[in-house]
Amino acid sequence: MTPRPGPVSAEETARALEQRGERVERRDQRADRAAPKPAGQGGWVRSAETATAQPAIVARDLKVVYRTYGAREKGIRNRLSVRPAQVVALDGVSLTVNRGEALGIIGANGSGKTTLVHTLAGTFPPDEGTVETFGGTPAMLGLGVGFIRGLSGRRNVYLGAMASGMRKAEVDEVIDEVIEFTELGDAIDRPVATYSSGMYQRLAFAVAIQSRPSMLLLDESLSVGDEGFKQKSKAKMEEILSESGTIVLVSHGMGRLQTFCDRVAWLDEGKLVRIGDPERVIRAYRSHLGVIAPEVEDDDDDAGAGAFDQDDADLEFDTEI
Amino acid sequence: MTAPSTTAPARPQRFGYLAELWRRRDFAWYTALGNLRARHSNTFLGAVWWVLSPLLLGMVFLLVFGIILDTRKGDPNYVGYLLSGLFAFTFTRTVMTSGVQAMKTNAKLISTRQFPRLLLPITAVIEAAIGFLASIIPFFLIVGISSGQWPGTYSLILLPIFVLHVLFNVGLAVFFTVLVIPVPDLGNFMQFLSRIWLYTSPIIFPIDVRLKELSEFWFTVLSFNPMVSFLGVYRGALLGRDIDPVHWFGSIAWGVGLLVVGVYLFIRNETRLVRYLR
Repeated sequence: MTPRPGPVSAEETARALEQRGERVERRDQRADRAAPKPAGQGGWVRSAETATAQPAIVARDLKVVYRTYGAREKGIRNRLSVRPAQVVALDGVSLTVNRGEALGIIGANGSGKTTLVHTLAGTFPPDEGTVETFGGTPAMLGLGVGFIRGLSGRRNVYLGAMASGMRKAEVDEVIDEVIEFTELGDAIDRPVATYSSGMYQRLAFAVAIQSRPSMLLLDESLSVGDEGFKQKSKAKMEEILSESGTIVLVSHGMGRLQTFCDRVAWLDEGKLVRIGDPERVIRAYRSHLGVIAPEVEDDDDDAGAGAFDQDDADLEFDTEI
Repeated sequence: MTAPSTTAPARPQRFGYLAELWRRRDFAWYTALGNLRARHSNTFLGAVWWVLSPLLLGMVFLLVFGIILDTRKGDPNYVGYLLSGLFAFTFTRTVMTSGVQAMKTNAKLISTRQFPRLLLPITAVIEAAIGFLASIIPFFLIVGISSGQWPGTYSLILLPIFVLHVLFNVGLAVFFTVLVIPVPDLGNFMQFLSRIWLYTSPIIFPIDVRLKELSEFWFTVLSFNPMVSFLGVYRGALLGRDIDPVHWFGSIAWGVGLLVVGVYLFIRNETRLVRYLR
């Protein structure tokens, strides 16, 4: 667990903000609908936002507990215990992601962001609670999606596509298109072990996107890759949204989240603290961290498209490689 | 609104599950081939190791047991006896751990894709099966050169017994996956278990010849060892020896039985297993 910067809890910070007249949406019925976003901000306004919301992913009371036999508490009784130590990663999280909506997830390290995305993707069953998805199977994209490192990029595209349920013959038909999207050139036939992390991510993104998923969940992966590819992958995600698909995005890049997402959810120690308008939630989160006082206006929402990649400096790989 | 397509805690339907498994057979096959290709990709000899490894293993056993400990005891084709048992057993020994390993190394894939997880231990068995088939080539060469016994029509028996052996190994790999993933400590017992299994199976010497002094009770217990049945049939297929019908029966019962039990347990516990992997 990360030490908290201040003595205040996340709840307290948010409450304090509210008392000061800040409107931060509470986690309630209201927050479960898409919050309309002020027009003009960030430049990513889609008609779907104001239309009646159709749920794509509905999560109810998710609880996830990790068990480990290592790192027991001190004391002979704890050390000899047969029961594993428990870490509560998600604690009663409920949220709805709508069609045509991009939801961002923020929170300190160890707050349960990655666990939440994996649970929403349906790849990790929660200990309690349910996840329902409507109209499609979510595609999950994290850092290092499980390539065989000794094999060429081309063979890994095959394996990745087949892991998503395609037959070999079906992959044969789209393989050229996928490889073209990666822009890896001759490197596609080199072992993945020789790839840089950027090249690796290009490949991972191309594989994840090839099935044209209507729901895409990303875990800290967009910010890797060079300028050109970033724009390209962003355009691809815009395309998904415009076809009333759904995107869930975990990131520490606040500027990117603010311009790209319709709503942002703030997790703290496995609990959903706030969900709603990106600007307000991010401001509440930042003031909780003590990064920026709540009075100070966000200085990064004027950047438009450029803001998408401005936060690379605080990109971290706490999830996995 | 469309009907919900996924409800996370719900267990997949058993036969729908098997249908989905079959639908994704390409994945299992190509992942196995990919792992095989990758395994020796950074060695100088590359694919030659597929034949060389079992050959060297056979020579070590031949040296230790055939010559130093002199377990031959008048078998005119001891080389064939030892190697046929050793290679077939190696296939089984490999899957005892590689099924679990496949789940662990693919934890990443498990966390990002929805697919029947049973594919992963099956992939491990396909890999080991290809390794076993590769070792048959040096086997026939060595036996042919050393004893003049080359494969004949009896070798066709290899096909059914190999299929039964694969079924058994899938069951075994899956069974151990269900056991070891929740209790990792059991994984440390595998090497001891496989060693005991090696010495209580008719691999280095025929049990009935060696363990004459054993009481009837223990003798009966040892005859339930699935390897007794499988090796009995394998020696018919590889060396043209007489096959006890009991060994045929034992191979079928173990192969089909353990497959059904293992797969049933795995599908029942899949959700729970995945939780241990995250």
